[in-house]
Amino acid sequence: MKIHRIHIYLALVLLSFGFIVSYSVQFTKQTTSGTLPYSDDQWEKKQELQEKLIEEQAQIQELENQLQSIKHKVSEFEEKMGERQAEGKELLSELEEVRMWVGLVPVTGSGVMVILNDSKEVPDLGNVNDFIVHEENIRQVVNELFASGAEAISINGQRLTTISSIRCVGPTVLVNEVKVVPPFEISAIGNPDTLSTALSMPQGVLQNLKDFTNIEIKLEKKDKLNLPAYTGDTQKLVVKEDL
Amino acid sequence: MKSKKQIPLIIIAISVIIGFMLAVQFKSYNAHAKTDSKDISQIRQDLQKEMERHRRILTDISKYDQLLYEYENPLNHSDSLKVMKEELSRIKALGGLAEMEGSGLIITIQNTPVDEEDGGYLSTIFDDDLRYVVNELFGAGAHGISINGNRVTPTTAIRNVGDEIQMDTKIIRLPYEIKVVGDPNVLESAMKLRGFEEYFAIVNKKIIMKKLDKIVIPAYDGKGMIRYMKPVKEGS
Repeated sequence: MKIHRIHIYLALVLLSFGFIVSYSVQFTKQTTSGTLPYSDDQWEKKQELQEKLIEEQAQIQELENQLQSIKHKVSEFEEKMGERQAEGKELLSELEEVRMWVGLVPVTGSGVMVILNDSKEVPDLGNVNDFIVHEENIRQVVNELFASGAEAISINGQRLTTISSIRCVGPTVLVNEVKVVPPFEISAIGNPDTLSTALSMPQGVLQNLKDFTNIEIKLEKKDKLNLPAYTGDTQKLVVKEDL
Repeated sequence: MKSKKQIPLIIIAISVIIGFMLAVQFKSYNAHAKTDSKDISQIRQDLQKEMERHRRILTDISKYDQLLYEYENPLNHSDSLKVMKEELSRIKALGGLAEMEGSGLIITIQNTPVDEEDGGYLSTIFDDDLRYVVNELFGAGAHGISINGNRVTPTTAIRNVGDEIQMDTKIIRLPYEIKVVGDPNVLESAMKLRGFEEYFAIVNKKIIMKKLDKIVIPAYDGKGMIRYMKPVKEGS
C-alpha cells in the first residue's frame, strides 16, 4: 500500500484529537477534585435564592422611598404646627436640630471624603492582611474625624448614629448591620480644612495607615456632600420620662 | 482504497467533532469559574441580612406612621404639642442628650494586682480597646452606653492624647465603668463570645460584669454642635 497524502493528514488530525481528549479528561479530573461539582438540583436552588435576594432588595428600595415620604409628611405637619404656636416653633427647631445630629434626616454640607481600598497588587509573598482594609482601619478614621469636629459621617451610604457599629463578620464589613464592600467611602461633614489637616498630620491616622499597611488611601475636600438618613430600628429605646 | 472525493468529507467530520469538544470544554470551564465566586451559603447569608434590613425599615415605617396619625388626629392643640415633645425626648435619648433607663449591664475594667517584674508597656489599655468594646456592645444591640459617667453620643470620639485616653473632651482613667442599657443576657454573652475577658487578661486587666434590671445612664453634658450641615429638604 502506498502512503498517500491523506494518511499523513489523518494521522495529524487524529493525533491532535487524542491529545485534546486526554487533556480534557485530565482537566475535568483536576477541577472536580478541587471543589464540589454543582448538581442541577443545587444550581436550581442557587438560582432561586439569587432571585429572592434581588426581589428582596427591590422591596427594600421601595420601602425606603415610602419611609422617606412619611418622614416628609411628618416634618410638613410639624412645620405647620410651628407656624401656629410660639411654643411649637421652639420645639420644631430643636427637633430638627436633634434629628440632624442623631442622623435621622438626610443632610448636606461641606466636608471631606476618605476612600480606603484594598491594594490591587497583592504579592505572592507577604501577609495578605496588610493589603486589605480592616474594619478597625475604618473605625480609626471615623474616630479621628469625629475627634476633629465632624458633625455627620456616612460609610458607603450608611449614616452613622449613636448605636451604629462597624464590625467584621467573616470576609465582609458590616456597618449598621448592612454589608459594605470596598472601596469604603467615608463622607464626613464639617470644616474641610480642619478635617483634612487633622487626618493628614504627621504621625496622624492616615500616616499610620500608610506606614503599617499597603491599602490605598485617598483624601478629598468637598464643597458639598450629601449624607442619607439612618434607617433602622430606633424604636426599642427605653426613655426615662422626665417631661 | 477510498475515492479522493471522500477525503474532504472525513476531514470535515473530524474537525466538527474537535470544534464541538473544544466548545464544550470552554463552556464547562466558564461555568466553573462563576460558581466558585459566590456559593450558596454566601447568598443565603446575604439574603438573611437583607431580610433583617427589611424588618428594621418596616418597624421604622410603623413608628413614623403612628407619629403621623397622632399628629393628624389630635384631641386638641396642646395634645399635638405633647406628641412632638414625646418624639423629641425619644430622639434625645437615642442621641445621648437625655438620661436613659432600662435593664442592662455594668462592665468594670480594672487592674489586676501584678508582680513587680510585670507591668510596663503591656499593661496599658489604648483607645482602640475601649472603642472595640463600645462597638461590639452596640453591635450586640445596646441602646445606650456611658463610660465613667460620660455618655456615648453620635459624634463621640475616644482617643489617646499623650498617655491619657480622652472621651470627647474628658479624660477617663482606670478603673473603667461601662454602663450599658440593653438586654443584659445578650450583652454579656456577646462580651464573652468575643473573648474580651481573655483579651484584657493579657494586659493584666480584669473584667467584672454585673447584670441589672434597672440601670440609669446620664445625659451627655455638652450640646450637639451644628455649623456645617443643613437638612436636605424633600424635592430639592
